[in-house]
Amino acid sequence: MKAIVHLGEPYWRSINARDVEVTLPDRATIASALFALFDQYPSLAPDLSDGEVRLAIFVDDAEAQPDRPLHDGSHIHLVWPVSGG
Amino acid sequence: MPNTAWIDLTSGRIDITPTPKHLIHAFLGGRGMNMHYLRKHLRAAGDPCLIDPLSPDNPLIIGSGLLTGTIAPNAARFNVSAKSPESLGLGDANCGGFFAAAMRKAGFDRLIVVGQSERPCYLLVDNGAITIHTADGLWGTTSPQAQEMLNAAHGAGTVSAVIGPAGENKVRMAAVMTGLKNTAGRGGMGAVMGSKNLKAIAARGGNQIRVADKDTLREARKAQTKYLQDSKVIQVLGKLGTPFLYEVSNWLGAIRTRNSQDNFFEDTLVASEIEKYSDKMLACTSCVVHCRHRNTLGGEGPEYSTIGLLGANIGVAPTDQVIRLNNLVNDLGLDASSTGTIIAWAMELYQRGLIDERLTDEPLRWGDYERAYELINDIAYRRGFGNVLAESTQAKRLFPPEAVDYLIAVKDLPQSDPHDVRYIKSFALGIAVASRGADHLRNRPTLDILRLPDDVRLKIFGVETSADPTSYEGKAGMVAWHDDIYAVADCLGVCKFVTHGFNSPHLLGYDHFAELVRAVEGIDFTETELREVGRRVIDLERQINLEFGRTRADDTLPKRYFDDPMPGRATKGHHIERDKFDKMIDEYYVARGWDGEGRLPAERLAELDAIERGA
Repeated sequence: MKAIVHLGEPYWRSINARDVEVTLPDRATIASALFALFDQYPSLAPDLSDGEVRLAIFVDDAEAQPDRPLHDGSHIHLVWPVSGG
Repeated sequence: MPNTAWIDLTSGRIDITPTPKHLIHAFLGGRGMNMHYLRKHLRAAGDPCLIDPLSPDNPLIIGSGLLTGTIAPNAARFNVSAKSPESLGLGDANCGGFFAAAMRKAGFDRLIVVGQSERPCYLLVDNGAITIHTADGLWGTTSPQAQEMLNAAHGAGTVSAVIGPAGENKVRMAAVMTGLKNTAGRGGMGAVMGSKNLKAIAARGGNQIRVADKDTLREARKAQTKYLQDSKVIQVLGKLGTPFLYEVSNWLGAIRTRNSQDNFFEDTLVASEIEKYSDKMLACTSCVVHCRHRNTLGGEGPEYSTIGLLGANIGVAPTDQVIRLNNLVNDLGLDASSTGTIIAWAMELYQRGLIDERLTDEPLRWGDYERAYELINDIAYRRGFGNVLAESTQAKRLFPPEAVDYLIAVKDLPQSDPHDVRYIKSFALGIAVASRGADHLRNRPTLDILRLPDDVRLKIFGVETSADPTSYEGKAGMVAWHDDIYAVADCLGVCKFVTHGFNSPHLLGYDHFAELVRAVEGIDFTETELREVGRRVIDLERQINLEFGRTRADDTLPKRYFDDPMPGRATKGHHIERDKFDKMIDEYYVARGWDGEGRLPAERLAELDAIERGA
């Protein structure tokens, strides 16, 4: 199955792409989608796994944890949860 | 020795005294010391409730932070305080740039201006002396024009804090400006300055700021700069500035849109669009972040707040148009947050038929850039319907009674940032209890959305809190914790962007601040003692508000936040439940040590009174 990973600010900048399609086995989870993403773009791994910034993950508009199963065509949004300014 | 100057513009008398040491121990400087003098002056002038904020009796207090102007990281800031003509309560605005450092290097850490000049005037603060000059030629100029003229008159090293036409015309949301964009924006401090016929304060600072231990300060600066520059948050702020916050809020469905009738807007205002108009990142004195854009349309910014409030909140989507509105409010000397909130309020009243062309002169439609541009000018010059909106929240007296149901303000201060607080309950509590009104820079618990592990949150906040940002549990202690550390940062003159808790747990905390205070002032504060300064400032501000007649009933939220669920995206359906909100207020008062009505314990009041007497 396929899922679309949408990269929020500033993550997309290191690969110059907002959206990445990943191919996954059936019953894959968000964690597997992230591994697939890192396989395609190893430079993303340090940013998305940084200890200071805790990545917020949304699937189809609802916040989700890495063990959440995906379905074909899932949209995964990776967001840096910041506010204020 | 740092000095405080009392300037009476009615008589022309100027008194200069060393800043009392006991006040440095109690309040450090900046916001805390300003609050001390504000309460003292207002009480001496009569009943604080009855004092007209635009009268000569209202003091205008300009105070730098204790570290401001030194090489301490990001120590550029000062506070401007007075009774607010916008909220009719506590008025206090914080600002960066280069002015406060120049004022300190000219020999002054605080100016207390009372009275009213017969003619337009400005102050020159220069090498330990203050002189009053006529400002006839400056009156009527925009903020950049006034600063250029003062530079021409007094030399290129002059740094000025000025008002634009909005301040001259006593617009209740007028700001004090320095540089192209640095703004003491909140609460109408520019109107207070205008009411005194005071156009500008020009500072020429050639002196060194006395530092107790220069070597230790240099070492602290070096180590703390590295610590900050290793932070991802600081790195991104330095590249993208605050506009990078827009995308997150908008994607979640937490951006105030069309006066909070909607909660998401166009992607034209994301950082990657804003940066197409940016040619450089700028910084304030001693800054290690460099978060401010210089835009190619003739100004600086916009910040996230302006993007949201002069973009999404009034329905203007084209990037260049929002930047032009940003530059316009800065030139005219208006607070962008209040201006965007008040125009959006008026647009909704027009949409609902509560006001019409008999009052507005012309239609008021969402997204009408030309009308917004014209209206902002009319506000600053008090022309036509602009003269009504120049009253900011006090325009409610000129509208039908139900108009207040659509006003996004707390304690009559329009909400400062573009974040819709219905989703994250600690944000909602924060703006409800913030001393100057609806403002995120008093206590926003930004860490609440990071879902930090239990042990990490306990270590930071010292109290049990929920990891769920939509929960009401444990948010009171979290808000109180942020109250205190942000107050200390404001007393020191340090920027929130490098303060522990503002979007990262890896920024400057009490331990770093204690090290800097020791090096600069030679005073040993423990971390606990520094937090106690923050608690004292929050208590003092509470007491000032109580003396303005504020009560528990004022610690509330706009009606819409209770009654209207958020309409879309991930935050859909969220709103504030009144009973749970009331419980949060109860818990917050307990966390602060106040009684059920939000009153201070007798011992704290006695302590504040003793400090005021100089005991």
